[in-house]
Amino acid sequence: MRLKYRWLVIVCLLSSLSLSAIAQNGWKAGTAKINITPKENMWMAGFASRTRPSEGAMHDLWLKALALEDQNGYRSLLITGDIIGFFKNISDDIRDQIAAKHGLSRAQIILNSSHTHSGPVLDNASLDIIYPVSEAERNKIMTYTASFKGEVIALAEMAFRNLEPVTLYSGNGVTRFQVNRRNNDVSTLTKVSELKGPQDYAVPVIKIASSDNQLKAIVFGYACHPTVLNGYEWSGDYPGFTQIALEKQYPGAMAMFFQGAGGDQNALPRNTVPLAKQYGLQLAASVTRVLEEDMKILSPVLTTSYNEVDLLFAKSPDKNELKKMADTNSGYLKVWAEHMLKKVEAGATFPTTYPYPVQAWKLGDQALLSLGGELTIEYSIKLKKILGPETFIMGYSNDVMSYIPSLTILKEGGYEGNTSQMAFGLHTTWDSSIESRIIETAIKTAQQAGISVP
Amino acid sequence: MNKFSALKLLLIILISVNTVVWGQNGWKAGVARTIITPNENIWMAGYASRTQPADGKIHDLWAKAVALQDAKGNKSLLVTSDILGFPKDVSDYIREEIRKKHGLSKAQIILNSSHTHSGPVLNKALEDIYPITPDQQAKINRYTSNLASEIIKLADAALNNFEPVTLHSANGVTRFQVNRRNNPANLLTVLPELKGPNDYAVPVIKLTNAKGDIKAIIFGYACHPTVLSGLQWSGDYPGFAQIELEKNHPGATALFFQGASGDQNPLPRHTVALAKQFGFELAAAVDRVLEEEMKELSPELATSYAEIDLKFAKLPTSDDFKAARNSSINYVNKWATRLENQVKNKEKLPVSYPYPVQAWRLGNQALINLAGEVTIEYAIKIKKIFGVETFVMAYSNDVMGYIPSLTVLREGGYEGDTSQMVYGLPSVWEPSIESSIIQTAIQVGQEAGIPFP
Repeated sequence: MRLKYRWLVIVCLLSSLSLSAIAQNGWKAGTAKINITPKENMWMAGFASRTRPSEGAMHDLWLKALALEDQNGYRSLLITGDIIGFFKNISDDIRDQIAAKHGLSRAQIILNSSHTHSGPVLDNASLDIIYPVSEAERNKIMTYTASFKGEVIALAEMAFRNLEPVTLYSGNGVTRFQVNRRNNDVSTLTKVSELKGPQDYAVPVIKIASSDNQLKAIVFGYACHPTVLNGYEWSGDYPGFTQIALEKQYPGAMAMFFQGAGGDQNALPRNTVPLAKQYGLQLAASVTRVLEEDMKILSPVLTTSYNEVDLLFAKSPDKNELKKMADTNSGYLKVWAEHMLKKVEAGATFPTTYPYPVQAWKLGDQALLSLGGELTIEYSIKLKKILGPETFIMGYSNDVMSYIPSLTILKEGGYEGNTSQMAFGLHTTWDSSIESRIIETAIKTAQQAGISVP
Repeated sequence: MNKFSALKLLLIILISVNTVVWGQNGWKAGVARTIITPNENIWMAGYASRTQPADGKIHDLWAKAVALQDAKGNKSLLVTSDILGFPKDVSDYIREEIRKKHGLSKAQIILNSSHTHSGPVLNKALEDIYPITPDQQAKINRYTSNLASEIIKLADAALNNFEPVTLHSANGVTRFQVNRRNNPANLLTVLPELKGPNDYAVPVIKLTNAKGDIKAIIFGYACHPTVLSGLQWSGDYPGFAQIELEKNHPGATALFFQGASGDQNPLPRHTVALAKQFGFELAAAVDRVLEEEMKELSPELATSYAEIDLKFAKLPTSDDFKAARNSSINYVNKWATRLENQVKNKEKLPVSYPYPVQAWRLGNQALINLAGEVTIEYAIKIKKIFGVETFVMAYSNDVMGYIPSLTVLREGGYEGDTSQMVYGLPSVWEPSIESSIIQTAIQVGQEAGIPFP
């Protein structure tokens, strides 16, 4: 054997060794899903305008989990669900229990809600302000919420029990059915020749392939309110249709949708089932494109980080202001004012801050930031400017306490900047430091997770 | 039988009679299709940058036809095709043959090209931009004359196969196109806003036969089929959209027509996976329209057609030729040589170009059909004039060059200026171009009985 070939053999041997080493010490992933469609008709979340409970299902609602373990045995858990939001009262309880059972910190757990407006109402602060529910309906909500929590915890266990060797890939796609709903007039949509931003058209995708190279799971996101549908049938809205389409196209794979910074983004036009399907299929087509092209392979190193930053409230309204609001308003604003007035008269003091969750994961060299609340799109745009355009941004994670307006939106006011606070049962708007506090905390959290600032 | 049931019976009889009459005097349609994928690997159309001919196919190229006949027997013919464009002489020949055979005037015929950039080069179309050998030219000539006779046969097939149908129309929406002049493609992922002008409309006509089955789906979008730039035949995103729709609706023929997409590109682009994505996105937008309520079109067809002289701004001078001869760009040299030879041979350079403008009215659905690489502002203006539900087609009957809006003309750049040489035209268009075309569109629209809303 000539020297040259001997070297070649050695190199080949070394590479096979290193391949099997990666297979043994690479990523592991476990998936699980559970049907969470309510067994009885109950009140539907998201719109104050509904006047009666649900009437059957268009398709099932799902909770899905992805457990990850890196080459050093470090773990994390992503849960996505066809629900309006993991509110603090629900999320804290779930995360505490999962953390205790599996030895995880909050940094290692993401609970993301798709924010579908065709899912069930869960117990939270806004319940009595926006939904005109009877005592009987209220009881159904409490019962569903309690069993929902149990389902999430059970799901986490299933996912961790199913860990198997996998390879992880990531890439960003694009589609453009969302529209900045604050800066474009829905009624003239077919007549305008330009749509105003800001917007973020990215479709972040993580592909999880099992050791026999079968597609095991597809994690993907988009920043757009699932408010195409406003009827009375349970539905995941456009993300529901996307997940169904992808799971049909890739038999055996689980498709998980996460909501991005869709606070001020609507799918337009809307309000018909064929449109929800259209957008669902369009999102699925953009995910398929990413899966078919070259994706970045993620080295099996996971780091996570989590902080809660105190967001400051602006000045609270006093008794006179509340009285005036109760007298001059109707609908949820009136209900809110009366509600707050009762609290003030009972001697309650309002909190001056709110603990806002900011989280970062680094999967190989894929950066992922996960934030709470109805995050508006400028946060996504700014964070990508700071951390690079390939960064994945999740909103609606771990807590949905309110809208999270950018400074611009806060100062413009309107629904996302002002009046939505009342729909969420908060006593006042955020103060002007909101954007800088969140961005600063996001940078700190990202850096703690080892995400570099390019 | 009491009085009430007798009345009911009478009503039922009247309704059935009415349905029968409607069936006899309603729309009739004939649908036909033929594969036009070249049998030999000839040069591919649309890009100057390709350095070799085609070497295979992603999927077949098609020409498709719908012949229509209204309650009074008025006829029309729409042909759609996976080609870059029908050059004037090819289009004139095809339309003349169809006139002789079937008695249809130019007003009654639309030859639309999807403008796919993964189809074959035709004779006398953008001839200066491709590095073509005589052997390649012979293949192109063979293909071109063959295509013309295939389309004439296609017209025969459609016009000889009428059956009763109902027609419905409506507009959908999708947004994978981007105004390519006003947005830098390389910054696309970091731009928080895309500049217009755009037209996101997806016009759809549904033809349903007497059994209630969808017989044909005619749909459009204003966006260059330039996702793909490889060496395999493909209809690009419209090809994928048509395949998907025909899969979703077995037995139906899906016909794509190109809109005013002169300045609209699908972005991002250049991968097969993206061509599929945009094809599926367009198909999803069409399926949504088909699933929702559509406007039923009464069986009344009116057509109108005019050719106007679009004026060139000036004739090139000997200095222009000299500069062009010294250019480093190959097609610019060729342009100078060819036009200078024409001048030397005492051939007059044209001062204007006969530009076709056409209108169809199907019941109360207005359709304005233009030629050339029409930029999007024409669609926007025509819809302001005739209503947002108007359908606007471009790349029909002749593709002689870009048709810039006044704004694009004055800004210059590719669509306003330099593309004229690519097309072998003597100079840029005159600033009267936009008002001439819009004024003529109004005139033919009115002749076809299309009202101002």
